[in-house]
Amino acid sequence: KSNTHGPTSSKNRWLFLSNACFFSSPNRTEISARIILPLGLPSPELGTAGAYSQRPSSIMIHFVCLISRQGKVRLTKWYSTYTQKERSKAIRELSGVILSRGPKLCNFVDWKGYKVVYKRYASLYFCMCIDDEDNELEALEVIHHFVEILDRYFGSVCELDLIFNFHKAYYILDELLIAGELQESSKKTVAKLISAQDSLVEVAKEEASSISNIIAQATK
Amino acid sequence: MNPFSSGTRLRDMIRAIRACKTAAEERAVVRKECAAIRAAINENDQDYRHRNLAKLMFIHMLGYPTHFGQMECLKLIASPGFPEKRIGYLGLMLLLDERQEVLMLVTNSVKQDLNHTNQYIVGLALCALGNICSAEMARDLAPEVERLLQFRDPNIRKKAALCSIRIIKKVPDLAENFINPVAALLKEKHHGVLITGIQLCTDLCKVSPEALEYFRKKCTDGLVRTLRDLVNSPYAPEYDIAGITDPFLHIRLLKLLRVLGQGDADASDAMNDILAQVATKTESNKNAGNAILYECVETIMSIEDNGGLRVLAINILGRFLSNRDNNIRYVALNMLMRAITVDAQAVQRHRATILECVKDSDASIRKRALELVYLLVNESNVKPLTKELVDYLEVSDQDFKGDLTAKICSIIEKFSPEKIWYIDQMLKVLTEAGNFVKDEVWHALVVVISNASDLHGYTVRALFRALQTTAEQESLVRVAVWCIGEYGDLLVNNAGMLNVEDPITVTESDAVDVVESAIKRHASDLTTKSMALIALLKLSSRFPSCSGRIKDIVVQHKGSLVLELQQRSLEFNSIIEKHQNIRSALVERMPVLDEASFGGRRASSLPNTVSTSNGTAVKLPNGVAKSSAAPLVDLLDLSDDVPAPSSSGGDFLQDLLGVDLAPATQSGTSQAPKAGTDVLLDLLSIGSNPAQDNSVSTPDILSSAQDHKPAIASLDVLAAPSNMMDLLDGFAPAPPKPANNGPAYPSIVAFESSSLRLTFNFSKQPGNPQTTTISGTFTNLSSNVFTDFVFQAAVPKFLQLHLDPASGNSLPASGNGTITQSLKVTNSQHGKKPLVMRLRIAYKVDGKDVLEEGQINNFPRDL
Repeated sequence: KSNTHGPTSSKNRWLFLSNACFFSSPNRTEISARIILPLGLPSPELGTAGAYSQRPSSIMIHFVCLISRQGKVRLTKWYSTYTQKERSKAIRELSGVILSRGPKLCNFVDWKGYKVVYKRYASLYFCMCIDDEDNELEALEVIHHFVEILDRYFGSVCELDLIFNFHKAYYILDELLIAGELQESSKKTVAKLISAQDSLVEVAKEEASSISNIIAQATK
Repeated sequence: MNPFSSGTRLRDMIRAIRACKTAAEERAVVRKECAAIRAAINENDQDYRHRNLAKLMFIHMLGYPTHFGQMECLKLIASPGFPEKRIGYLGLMLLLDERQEVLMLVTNSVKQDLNHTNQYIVGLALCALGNICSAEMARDLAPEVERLLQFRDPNIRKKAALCSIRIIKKVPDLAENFINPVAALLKEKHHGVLITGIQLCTDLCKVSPEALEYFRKKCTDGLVRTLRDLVNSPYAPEYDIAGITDPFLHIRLLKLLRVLGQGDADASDAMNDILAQVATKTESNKNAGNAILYECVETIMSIEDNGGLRVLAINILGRFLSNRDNNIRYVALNMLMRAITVDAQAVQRHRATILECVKDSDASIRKRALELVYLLVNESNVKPLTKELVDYLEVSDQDFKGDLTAKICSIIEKFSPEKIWYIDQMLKVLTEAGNFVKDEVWHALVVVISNASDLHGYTVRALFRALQTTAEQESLVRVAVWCIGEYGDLLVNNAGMLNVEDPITVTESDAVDVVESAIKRHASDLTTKSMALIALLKLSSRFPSCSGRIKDIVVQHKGSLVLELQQRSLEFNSIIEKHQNIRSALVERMPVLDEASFGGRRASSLPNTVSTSNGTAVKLPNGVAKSSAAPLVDLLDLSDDVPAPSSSGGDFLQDLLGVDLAPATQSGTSQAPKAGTDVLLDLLSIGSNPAQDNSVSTPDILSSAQDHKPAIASLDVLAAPSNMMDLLDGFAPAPPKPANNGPAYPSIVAFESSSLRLTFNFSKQPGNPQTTTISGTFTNLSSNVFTDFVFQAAVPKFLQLHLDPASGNSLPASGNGTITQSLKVTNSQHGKKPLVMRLRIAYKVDGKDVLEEGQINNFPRDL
């Protein structure tokens, strides 16, 4: 289906240039209104093209990422809107900066007007991008909080755990952060919620297998 | 069942990918998996849908495209079981974001799940909504979320609170609906609910002034009480971090109190005691404690003034600054930067420590400290601070030098108490880090030097000395070469000696040596070489004994591959050889450069404020709009009676040196032969010919014609390029030949309706067959005036379209006037595919909107 390709595919699309902006403000030095739209659709208002790149105001954590010592991405979670291109660019730039920093230096790097707080645990770097005016020390504490919960869940967690059970790491992160804000300060509560949901999955699996057993027996 | 999908388990796929030795192998494995998953999707395979999605998420994390799996997330979310929904929602959050239209399809499923009887399913839906919902979804689902703020289970309440944050950020109008439920959350005991409720409250206060007023009145005292209870609470193992009960809650409470206290004396008063208690009682030996102190200091600094508390806060920052932990020092610098507006004196006390931080081994700390030092500089401390920074410049890291140099230069310019100090410091910076100095900075330096007539000798000698120690800094070389050219005589005869100087002996040939080495240095770029060439010309008059040698150096560049150098050296050579009698008058010292006009020009070179003569400020993006100032006009200084050529965008160098530094390709071909024969005519007639601006090569005229178009639109120019040439070219020494315009193409009627006709004329620039300049003319065939006329054009991918401004936006009735519009189309498939274009023309007739559309397929074939 063509509509599942999303707005990234640009085949058969026409790039409309308009001179309208020129005439109203003759001082403009370059074309600012570029709209990409398939011909025949009603055209959106001029000048809405850049609206997506706005960041929501004052979100605490813009994104979380886990990068291995070799620069491999182990987990990423985006709370602000970034395009796929911006995402991979951000990760590439940050891993370059962070991996090259020495061990005794501070845990913060300035990045495009934001701050990235990172901490290394064994072979993994846990990174969080926060606003410039946010509390970096608290972000460090959030990272540690996350690591402790992972540790408790996996039983002395290692990078391999997070590779093979990446989805579980995401589930845990979702119990810890929503919309870039901290959700729960008790490790015990998070552990409880995760295990409750895990057991729901187990029950469903058992049911499914017993049903398929019954069906298999019945059809024998 | 699909034969592929049953293949590998998630674990096996991850293993296979990890086992890959090369990127190519990995791609092959991923391609195979993706093919299997696609096949399963096409067969609508149910049994392995969740496993396939899990695989896709892993593949997505590796950076491969996975858009084809987006619909699978939706199907899993719509299925009844918890395991399917769990993985479906995870996929939704990872593979999609709020911009994808697919997201709208999930709204209904999310709505059902928000009302599900299983609270964990409600939790999943809330989590997904909180992380990726769009404004439309926020509007649709806000009532559900609002209701869930009162759900019986606290874990749902806290998720609903955070979800509400996203909703009010997407749709701030919804804020007022949340005020009442949030007030109830603030009274909760459950930490999760309290933390999220406080956070939601903080965000509500930010988007809605009414909410702020409400919470300030109703909740300040309650929040202060909550914080007091928390600070004094006994050991609670569940929430304890480094001996502190729930630092996260501490920090969020302090943050909200800051918002409530800001700008309100009563609220600030209510929280004074507890802030003092937090500031004094919190342990500062662990990160958690410091995080709280940091937040507390920020709150104290932001709320209404209380002298005692401020002192406490500044003291904490002082302690932070002297801490050995780099993190703590970093945040201290950060805080001090904000504190400087509140209490500059207190921050000044830490100046020495801050300066030490500029020299730290940690780049993050250095950067912060440098910004802080920049804020600390004032008239009284500029000298010692600059000295420290300049000294440090010598030993700093290469990658820090850029920032450091920029800041030092800015400090010197802003606070310099006297000219000699300014020149001294700038010379030091140029010597240490000349390669990092921005052009406008050394331009400004040249202007200052030119104005400080009593320091000319001092400066040129200092520069000469500096150049002896290092010749690697480009901008130092440029300034030195310029000064030696201008003030070479002062260098040799030690004129204007200051007391502080050591006398030096420089012979005339020493001075020429320096300039010669600058022009011969391989690293020198065109600007430096051109400057050196002009300096040589000047020196040939100042030092007659070296004239022969200078001529030899100049002659060597007659064969230069760079057109600019070649042309200049030919010109200069003929001046030296044939025109001895006027040479000294030609190369007199530059008149003093006007600081005010230079400053103004710098300001006007900022984007969007570019202004040139006759009000047409449209500059072509490709930069050809650079006004081609006649060469040497300033240098020769014959132009006193003529207004200096207006150069767009403050092309300072052009004026300073009188050299057109435009790349050779732009100077075109017709200039080269002219330079050979007519050069002196050109050179000497310049000042008296007011139209000298126009004696530029053909291509420049062609392109500048488009720039000037709006101005001459009233002339009703149809074929803009050719007419413009006539208009501007009246004084040109050699009228351009029509052959230069390339082959002619027939005009076409591109579009014709009952009310409107559009004709296109085509022209091409020689040597650039891919690009066609189209001049469009609109004619109104109806009897009504068209207003708000807007023309849009679209081209397929292989074409590039550039639209210039139209000549107007209203079109008189019955063909009594026209609008002209020029377009430039670059055909990347020139010769293979013909041009094609779609049009959309919108205008108003009697206030009614009319839209016309069409496609042009009748372009001449070989465009």
